[in-house]
Amino acid sequence: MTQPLLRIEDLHVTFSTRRGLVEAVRGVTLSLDEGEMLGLVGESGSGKSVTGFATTRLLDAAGRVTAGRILFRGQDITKISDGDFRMLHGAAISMIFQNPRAALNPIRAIGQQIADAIQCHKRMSKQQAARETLELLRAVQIRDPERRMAAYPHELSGGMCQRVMIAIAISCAPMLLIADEPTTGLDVTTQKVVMDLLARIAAQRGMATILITHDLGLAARYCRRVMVMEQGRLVEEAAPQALFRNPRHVYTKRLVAASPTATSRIEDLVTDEEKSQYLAMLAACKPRLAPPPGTPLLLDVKSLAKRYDHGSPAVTDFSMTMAAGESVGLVGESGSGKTTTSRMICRLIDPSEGIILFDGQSIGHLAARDFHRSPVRKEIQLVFQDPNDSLNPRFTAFDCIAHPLLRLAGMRPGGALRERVEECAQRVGLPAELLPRFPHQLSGGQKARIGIARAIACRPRLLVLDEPTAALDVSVQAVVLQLLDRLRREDNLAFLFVSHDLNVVRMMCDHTIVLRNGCIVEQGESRAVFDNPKTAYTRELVEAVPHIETGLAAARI
Amino acid sequence: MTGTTLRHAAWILRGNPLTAIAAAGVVLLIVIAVFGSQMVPYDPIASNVSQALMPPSAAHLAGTDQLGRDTFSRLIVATRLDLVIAVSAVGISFVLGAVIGAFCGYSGGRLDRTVGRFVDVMMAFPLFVLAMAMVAALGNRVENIVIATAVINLPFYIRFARAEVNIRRNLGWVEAARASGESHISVVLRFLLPNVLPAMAVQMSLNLGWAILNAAGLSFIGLGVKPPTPEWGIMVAEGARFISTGRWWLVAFPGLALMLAVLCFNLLGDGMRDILDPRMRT
Repeated sequence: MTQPLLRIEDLHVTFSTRRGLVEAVRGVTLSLDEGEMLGLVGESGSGKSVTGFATTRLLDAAGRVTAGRILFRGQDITKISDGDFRMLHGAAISMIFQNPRAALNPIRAIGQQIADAIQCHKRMSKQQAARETLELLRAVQIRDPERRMAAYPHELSGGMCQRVMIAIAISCAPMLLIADEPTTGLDVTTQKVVMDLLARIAAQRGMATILITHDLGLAARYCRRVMVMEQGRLVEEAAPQALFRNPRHVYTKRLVAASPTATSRIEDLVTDEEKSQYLAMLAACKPRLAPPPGTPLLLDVKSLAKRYDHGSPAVTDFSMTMAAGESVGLVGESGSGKTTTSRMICRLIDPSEGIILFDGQSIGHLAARDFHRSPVRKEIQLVFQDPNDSLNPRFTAFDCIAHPLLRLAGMRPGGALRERVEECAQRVGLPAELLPRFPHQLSGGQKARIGIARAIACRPRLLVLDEPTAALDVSVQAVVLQLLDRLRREDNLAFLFVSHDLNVVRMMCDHTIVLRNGCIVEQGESRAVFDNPKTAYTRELVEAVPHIETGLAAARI
Repeated sequence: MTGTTLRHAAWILRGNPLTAIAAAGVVLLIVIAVFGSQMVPYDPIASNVSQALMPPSAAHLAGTDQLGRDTFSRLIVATRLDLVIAVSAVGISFVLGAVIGAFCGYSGGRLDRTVGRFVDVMMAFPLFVLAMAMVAALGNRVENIVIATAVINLPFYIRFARAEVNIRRNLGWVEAARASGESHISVVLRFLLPNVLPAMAVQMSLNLGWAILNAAGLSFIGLGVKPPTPEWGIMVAEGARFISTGRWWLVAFPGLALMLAVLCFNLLGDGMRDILDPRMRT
């Protein structure tokens, strides 16, 4: 067997848009052997997903393969008819997508959806299909499969839905599976379970897999060979060890540096020359002064709780303290109550019970609906998760940053306001010429900067950051994290850093609080929590994070 | 700012000639509504029995009716009344519906449930019958036609605004506005409503056509503007008596006027969405 299963030769894909033709993939050549798992790594816009879509002929109407060949078992699948391709689809080539909930039909029971996929390619009776469905559900380790067959997608968790997607994808025993960001949006522990499952199934069935991901650590853990894409081109291809120890291409170097690891510090996230600049900046900052004795704590939260009318309490008995300039990480999986807690501390929602003292002054008893009039409002500001929906689409960048100044700092439109907005923009590294633009005309990183500029505009003392980099590419994340760290040092800001990304919290925070089901599981100095977790839950969380190093260790075994 | 908006509108219209034609039609309707009574060749109310039921000719472009009135003049003069009824009715239901719906969508809870059931009850009635009942009860006057048309349109605007606000209420920029010191009320009025407007403008434009039909319908069954006031609905109603004797122009021309007006507003609706949506601007 010398012929590879899949061979892509000099693939070009072009999209026609309002601004003319855009080349999304410019000359990708790769080959994949049977049973191999290949990692295709890159940031958004690198063309990695488009390559996958071209291989499965799922490009939308605007996209076209303009040059190159895709040979599947020696047959050029860009040339064959749609009818012939449908025969391949599912049976020989299969795909799983990023958002499993959106990929499943919400009004059809999952058992039926799997049976549909089987019957699409194989002629068999209903009973037979049901039997095979049951087999598949067992194969993807769904507990109690007889009962779950009748469940609808909304009754299952995100991880369960992705397992159902995997079951559908493997239902006709394909030879090639393309997994496009299969675990993005899932919690780390779920991610590990799903990826372990996928890797085992691929190995058992000798199925070749292309893992498309933005997460270098994930690719390192599961793939023997990793390809890095940038702007539609393959820039580097190597085994993970070689790639991460000795990246050759300048882009790969940047990407490897920007991916946080278990030991990296904030300053390590960039290439060497930028690092020295950053260190010089750090040295220029005056060291944080210990507050004079007798100063009240910046934030003192005592037995905070939130109960909704229906269901179990969202948060119970949450207590924490924070000094000025300190950064505390709030870590937990989805549904752990970390967002609810952060919103209570920001006074956007009312706690059911508990005390919140800000600078010695009780703010918990003020109703959230009246809190906008409190003088403390401008002391506590927020940075939101998704930069795409955190800016009013009808506001320009200037309006966004000016808004809190007009409302909270009592400034009036005019030269002083303009100066202040420009100063804020400059502090977050946003060029002043971008200020008249609307959000949709800006990139994700630029929008994130505007969100931060808005939050620091009124010089708050406490910044609550709700997954501020979760929606950003790693290289942008690195820059934004450095920016936040610098602002914190310059203004002696305190951070309450809400995140599910343990690597980021470890770098950014002095203290860490681990939440689960609305309760504090563990808290302490970040290093202690992460290096010597005291509870099983924290240990599980820490171990589930795919690091480049643990990936390498796994590869050696 | 206005300059870029105009340039953007021009760009959209160039790429979409149908919208341009519809916009031109609406502008023409407005011009006729404003200046029509000064432009007409004949007095729309004065009868001239010697010229009764004349087919279209050079002297009478759209013929004359049973009292010898010039149909073309009556059509032109009627434009103002029909447009005023439609625009004010849609305006009232839009303003009330958008505000009520937006608060329901933002707050949820008891307000939302109460208003929601009320809207359900209203929508369970045949709306035209409801309008008839209201005009019959309140009296046969133009204001009452406006009120009746506004009331039967209201549920659609409430539902529309509610749904559009509801999907946005948990977005980051809404919370950001709260963190920047806005009260709930100003978040709804100054942040959420402007973002919902583009979608509602489409609804409004479609609705204007429908409101014209509704007013004409009320007049047609005798519950609306009283003769001899020129109005498209009455003209169709009065002309219908003569259609069996072959005097087609009495029905055809007012019907055509209605159809063209409704068509223009409907076509404009889709184009307006593209013009008002800031995301379409590049």
